[in-house]
Amino acid sequence: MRLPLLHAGVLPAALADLRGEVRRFLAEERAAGRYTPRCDCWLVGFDERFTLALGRRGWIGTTFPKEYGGAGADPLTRFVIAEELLAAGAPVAAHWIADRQSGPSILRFGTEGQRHRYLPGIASGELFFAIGMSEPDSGSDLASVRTRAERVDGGWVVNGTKVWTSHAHHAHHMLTLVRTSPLDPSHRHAGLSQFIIDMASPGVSCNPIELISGAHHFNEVVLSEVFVGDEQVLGTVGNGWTQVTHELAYERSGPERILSTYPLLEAARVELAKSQAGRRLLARLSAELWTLRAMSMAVAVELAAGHTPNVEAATVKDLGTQFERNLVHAVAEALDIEPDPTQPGTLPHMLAEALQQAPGFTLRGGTNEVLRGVVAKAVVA
Amino acid sequence: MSTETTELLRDSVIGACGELADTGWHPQAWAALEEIGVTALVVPEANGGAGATYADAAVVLPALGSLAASLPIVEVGLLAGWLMTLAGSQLPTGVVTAAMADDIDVQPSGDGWLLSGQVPRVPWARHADRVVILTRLGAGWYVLDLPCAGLDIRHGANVAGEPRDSIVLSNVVVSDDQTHRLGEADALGVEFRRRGAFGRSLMMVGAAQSVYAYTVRYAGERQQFGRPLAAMPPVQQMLAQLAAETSAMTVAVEAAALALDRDPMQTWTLDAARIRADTAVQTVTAIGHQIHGAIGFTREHPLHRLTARLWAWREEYRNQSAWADVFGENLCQKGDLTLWHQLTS
Repeated sequence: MRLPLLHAGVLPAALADLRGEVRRFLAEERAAGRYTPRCDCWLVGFDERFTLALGRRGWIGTTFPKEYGGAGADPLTRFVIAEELLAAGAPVAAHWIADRQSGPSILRFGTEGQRHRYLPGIASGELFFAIGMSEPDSGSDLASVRTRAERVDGGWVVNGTKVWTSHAHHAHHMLTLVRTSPLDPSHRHAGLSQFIIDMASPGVSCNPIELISGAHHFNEVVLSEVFVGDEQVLGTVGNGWTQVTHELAYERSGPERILSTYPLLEAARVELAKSQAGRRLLARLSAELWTLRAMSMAVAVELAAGHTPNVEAATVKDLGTQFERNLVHAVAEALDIEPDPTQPGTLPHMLAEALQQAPGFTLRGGTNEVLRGVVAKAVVA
Repeated sequence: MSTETTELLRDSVIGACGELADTGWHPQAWAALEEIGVTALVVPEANGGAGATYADAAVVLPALGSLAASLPIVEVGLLAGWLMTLAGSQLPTGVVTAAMADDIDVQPSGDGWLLSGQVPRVPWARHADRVVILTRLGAGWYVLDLPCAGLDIRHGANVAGEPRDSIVLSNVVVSDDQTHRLGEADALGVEFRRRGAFGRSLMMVGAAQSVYAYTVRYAGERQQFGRPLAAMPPVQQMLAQLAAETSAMTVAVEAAALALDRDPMQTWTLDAARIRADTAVQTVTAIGHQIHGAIGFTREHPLHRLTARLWAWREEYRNQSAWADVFGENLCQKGDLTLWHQLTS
């Protein structure tokens, strides 16, 4: 019997120079006061200037071929850049989605025209994407999406509503999952397609959905008689499920599933170092982080080798996002301070923000319970 | 870290062991492992070992752990061999165990020494041909290499029934050539326990992998309410958690082994791996037993051979709390580096 089990992998030693370069850049930016480390920076840290600065250095769309504005680097290069940015709590939300999944999807499934049209702008840090998957009645059960497209001359007319759409109010495009044929209960995954919807199109409206903190990151995107030209269809009509599944593989095992609250641990460490109990906690959380990072790296190495460790990726997301949440509560217990959301840049503020963001960690990218179902099915198969 | 070569090594270890009885000692397996040259894996060839890497040890020891093999494999390879190498000497042949003693009294006697005191919880002492003891005499550390025959050995055991005996020394005579001085570094004692703890973690990973395999098989076969346990969503959630914890401890110990092969100074990775492996034990054994139900709670079913070893091994050579103290101090000493910089070094 062969059971899914992850084994350690190693990053190429040659990436050490790049890591050093990213660290120097981050230290300079921080010293100059151009950013303050925040938890969940890939959702809450929206900073167009910072994203442009990364784009200029070639650290967005790094894996795109040079002809599309990228550096033609392998996925492990992107892994190193991503984990350094996240560990530093840097404001990367503006480009995160495009760099992680929309861009790679366009590269994989898009036409030559689409690649030239979208990828250079993503890589330069000027073009932002949103994920149009969830709907009011479709969360983890994505196949149940109801946003529908009707065939018209030269394209499609789309009607429906997407929700929890992070930064749709800033995004230029939304990679949107729509139903292009009616739901067939015996083939639930058939009849879905992906459209690249221009957010400036007539009929697209974007309404804020405030988070617990009151911050505006989420949106409801209403699509009302939106015309989408044939040249905006990604990949093959009816092949949306396969494409979207591929997109999810990018989503699940990356360093953003383990590092979202690391800046809080780093900020708390001086305080924690003062007692034996604090040092013990520091050690336990560090051991867990080190292990999860080794797991995330192992999946990245597998992906880079052309394998599809989807089950292992789900495992990393399950353990990693629990760690992100548990860290917040463990640090809160050890610090014994009152979280305060009104004082940016302080430990009480960081704790407050982490607490308010934490419920999202184990939901986004597929809830942990659904992911465990995926793992279990592979295990008993 | 899973390649064709590692698979071959793993298969040869499992093949050599064959069927193992539920006892506290597996002498035939020992002989077979000596035959294929894996008992003293990471000991340099010049000192009587195989000169292999820690990555190799991270294949062999989990394989033995997965079989619940009852052998002083950690003691011979990671401890006795290491001590004899530090002493510039040869690992003795035969079944060798190792231990650390804090208070042995030593008096000069003729050309040698007279030893008195107690060496507690020596793994498999009653079955060993020799015991290699690390002890502190005054300011210095010494390695004593003693034959077990004739020693006063008092039986004890861990919760899995593996021998953990006390050796009572009362005026035992040792010659000068059985005594090696190692120096005065305080860290030697910590290093001994750290290597022992890491060795147990490697064995634990194998035991956990077997619990995982047994449990998945049982959940697929056992029918209740007209369907296999594995068809029930709560059981599926538990199986996924079992898979996750087993993967976490596997990756942790493998990553530590790779780090040590790259840079022998990276010993903090052993502490981190030990902490993570210990943490997994509770979930792995709880889920394994919960899914097996009452049959897994009996002596008759083999599950306890693995779970009891996980409970026992977790506490040997100091448990995760003690190692968290060591690791925590270590992290705080390098306060000028962020945790992230330290953990990615």
